Amino acid sequence: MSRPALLPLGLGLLLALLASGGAASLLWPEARVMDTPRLLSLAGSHARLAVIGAGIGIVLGVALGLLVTRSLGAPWRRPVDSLAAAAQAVPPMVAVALALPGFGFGAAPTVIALVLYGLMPVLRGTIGAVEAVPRAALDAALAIGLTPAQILRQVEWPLVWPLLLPALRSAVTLAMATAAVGALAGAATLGTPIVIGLQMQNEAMLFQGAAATAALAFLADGAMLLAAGFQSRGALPDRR
Amino acid sequence: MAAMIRFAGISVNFGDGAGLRDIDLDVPEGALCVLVGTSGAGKSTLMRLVNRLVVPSAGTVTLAGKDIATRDPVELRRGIGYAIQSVGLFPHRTVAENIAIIPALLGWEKRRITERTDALMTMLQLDPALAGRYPHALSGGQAQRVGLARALAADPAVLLMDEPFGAVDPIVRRALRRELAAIHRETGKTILLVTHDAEEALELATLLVVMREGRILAQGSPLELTAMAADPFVRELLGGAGLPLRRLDLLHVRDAVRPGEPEAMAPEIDADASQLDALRLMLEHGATSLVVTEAGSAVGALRFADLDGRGRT
Amino acid sequence: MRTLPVQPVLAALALLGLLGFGWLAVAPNRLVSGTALSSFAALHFWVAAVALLLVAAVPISPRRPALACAALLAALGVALWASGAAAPPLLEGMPPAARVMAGPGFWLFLLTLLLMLTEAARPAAALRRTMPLVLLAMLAALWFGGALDALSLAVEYRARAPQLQDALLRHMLLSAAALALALVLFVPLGWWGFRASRAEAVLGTTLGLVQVVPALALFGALMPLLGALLRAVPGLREAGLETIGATPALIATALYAGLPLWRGIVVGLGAAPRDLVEAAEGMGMTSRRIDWELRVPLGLPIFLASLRVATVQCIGLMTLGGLVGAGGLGAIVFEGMAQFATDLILLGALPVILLALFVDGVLRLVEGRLARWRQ
Ligand SMILES: Nc1ncnc2c1ncn2[C@@H]1O[C@H](COP(=O)(O)OP(=O)(O)OP(=O)(O)O)[C@@H](O)[C@H]1O
Ligand SMILES: [Mg+2]
Repeated sequence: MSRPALLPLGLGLLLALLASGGAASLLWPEARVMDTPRLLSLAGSHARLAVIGAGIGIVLGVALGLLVTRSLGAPWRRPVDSLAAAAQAVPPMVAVALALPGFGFGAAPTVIALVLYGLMPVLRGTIGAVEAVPRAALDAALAIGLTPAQILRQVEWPLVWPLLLPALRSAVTLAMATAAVGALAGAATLGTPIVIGLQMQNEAMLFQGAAATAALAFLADGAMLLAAGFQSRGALPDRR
Repeated sequence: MAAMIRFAGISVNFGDGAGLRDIDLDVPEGALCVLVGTSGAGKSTLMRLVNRLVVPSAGTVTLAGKDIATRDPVELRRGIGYAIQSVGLFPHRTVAENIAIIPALLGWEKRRITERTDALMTMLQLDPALAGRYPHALSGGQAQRVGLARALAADPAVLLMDEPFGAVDPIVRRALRRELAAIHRETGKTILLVTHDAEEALELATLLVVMREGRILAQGSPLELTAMAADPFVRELLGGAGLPLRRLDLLHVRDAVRPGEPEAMAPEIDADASQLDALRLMLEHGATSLVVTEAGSAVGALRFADLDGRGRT
Repeated sequence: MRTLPVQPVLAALALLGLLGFGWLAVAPNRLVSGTALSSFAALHFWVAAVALLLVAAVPISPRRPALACAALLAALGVALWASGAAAPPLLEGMPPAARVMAGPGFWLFLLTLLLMLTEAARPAAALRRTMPLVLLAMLAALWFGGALDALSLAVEYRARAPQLQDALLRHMLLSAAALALALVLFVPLGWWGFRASRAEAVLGTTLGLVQVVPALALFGALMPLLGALLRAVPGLREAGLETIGATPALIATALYAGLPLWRGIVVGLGAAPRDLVEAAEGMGMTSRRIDWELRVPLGLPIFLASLRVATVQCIGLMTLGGLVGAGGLGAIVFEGMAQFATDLILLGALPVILLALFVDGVLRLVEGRLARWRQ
């Protein structure tokens, strides 16, 4: 197992333990705590929401990133870049809030915000990765007589996807955070105990929610790092 | 000889005055045409017109009698080898896979591809152990050979080479140059080569083209372009003060030999040697004439005054 | 080569917003979404003027950028003014709480038009600078001239003006304080991280882990954690620390801003090319001189970029401060969410976004000025 993955995975497990109903009632004997099965079911819907939203965002982001780096989409390069930069100025919480009136309480505004946050880093990451493909290799591919589709499939994509992992990681991290904020718009996520805790002045639930959210985020991050450890062969940077 | 590549009335406009203007050039079949010129003169652009990586704003390029604008660029490019200074090997493919790209695209059988790859690696003196390596683990010279092998893989009739030996040391460079000369001799391919090395240009070219600021300044055989009468810029580019010596290297003893007896004790030289070798021998022995031999027997004399055809008139 | 041009596609989207969706909505009060009204019903023949200006801007956009910008600004101005003018007649005979709000078509139109303006101004450097100013001037004229007064956002604003101004000021102060806290903490740590590779590894990992924690969790966790701390060391309470309010918001925001700042310092200090540093050493410069004459100036663009990222993050994250009682624009957003009042949400959210974009733009300008030698 790769070493960098060990730390978040361990932290995640530790925090999950602290968040459990048993641990919380030990720490706050007289407070009302959330029981472990309820936390687990919230964690499940949190993860499901994050995966769906981030998944759609990632697919869209890669597709758009590849599109604007083709000659067909070339004029869109700069508008998309400025739009992505502007979108980073919108914090996840504000995105959820803005989607709320349009889509009502529940999971929908959260998914919308999640898609946005999955899309932006992946889009920028894809553009950056396509641009990192050595010019000479592209030139050679063209001169050899590869069709644009063959260049994309055989030259660009194999060189691009290994570079996408940092962007995917940041998309997943953002998805975990945004899903938590989704609780404010009525989505059932691990943000829910935090919101309840804030409303009821219940420190125990506040802590449980925070620890569980962080635990899930760490576990997801560790899983991403683990996946990154498995991909390695080939695709080494060209020295020239 | 029919023109394999013909540039007719070509202009390329990149805006701000850069590009090519009024290019007319015939490259005969089997020629090794060397393009020389200052940086930015348009050599690469001229070469990239042939495989349609650059599109002319005026004029036509014909390849084997057909206007290339009417041909499918993909199919056109598969029939043209292209080797460049930055090599452009695919970093995610091994050496063998890089060489095999075009044959694989053309749907060759696996066995035939392996045979071809092995043969090319042998021809270019690439260690077979390199076949499974990725490009990042090659030296500059090795990578350029692989690039050359890739360009040659599908046995194209036309080869475009843009400073293909740019990043290697002089010794490897000379070896690669000899290999290229051998390939040209043996296969009779039409080759377009860009180089900044005047010695290389004069040694390899059957047709030498000098470019400056988007135009062709002069074209002809190396002998024609090294003549005293040539344009001063051309002479400067091809060797400056050292040009007379380079020219002697292109001339053969056979062409300056006269019947008759040389001075006593004169050293001997073979009729096929270059006049530069003759000069070297004269300097070494303090002689002003040499005995010219052919297959071991004397056929005449070479006098200092006859070097470079000066005694002829 | 075939390409997909930008302006025609955006213009089609803007037209879709103009013609395809509800432009305005009339609601009996501010908490319901009301009945949708098409742009024809709301703006009458002004729709044609807006559409014409929009379409006319497309073909002239690449060659006459100034003219295209003018046409687009005019389209925007007419659309806004006509919408504002449409509201009072619609409200006639309705109860006083009734509102005319912007519909989805309006927002789509507005967003795509802003994109088109940016794109139209792109070819000319002078235009890129003047166009935003002209746009701002036009919006200010419409707003302060009272042309938009009857629209629900303006009504909401009038009802909340003092509260909003306080929140905005507080938001800026809190963000600046969080940034200052982050600078004080992490710039020295960055310097240390650059000097000691062990420190770099440990700090980098730690701050990277903080970045993974969702902001809501960190804001939430700080309250019980601070509570426990204050129970253990009551003296801290006298020093001004609290479990709710500004304290947790400042700490959490500063922690998040830490990573970009810290990394910017480490990377920036290392930006000086090795051979340059060696040349300086060869000239006999002390390592202190090298730091000040080489590393700091050469790292400046990176420092500034990381400062910009951290500042924008602080402004955005401070929104969550509204949740822990720190106030600021976030408090308005949360109030709006709790009431499901669109206008109130917008009233809190738009200033956050505009503030972040404004600071981002200004700092980019400063970066461009200071790093001119980099071309
Ligand atoms: N795609 C392009 N777009 C715009 N200008 C170009 C392009 N390609 C080449 N040029 C310009 O055209 C001129 C000729 O370029 P070219 O690459 O053909 O020169 P060259 O003779 O090969 O130079 P070098 O010896 O440095 O390789 C240069 O001024 C160059 O900047
Ligand atoms: Mg060149």
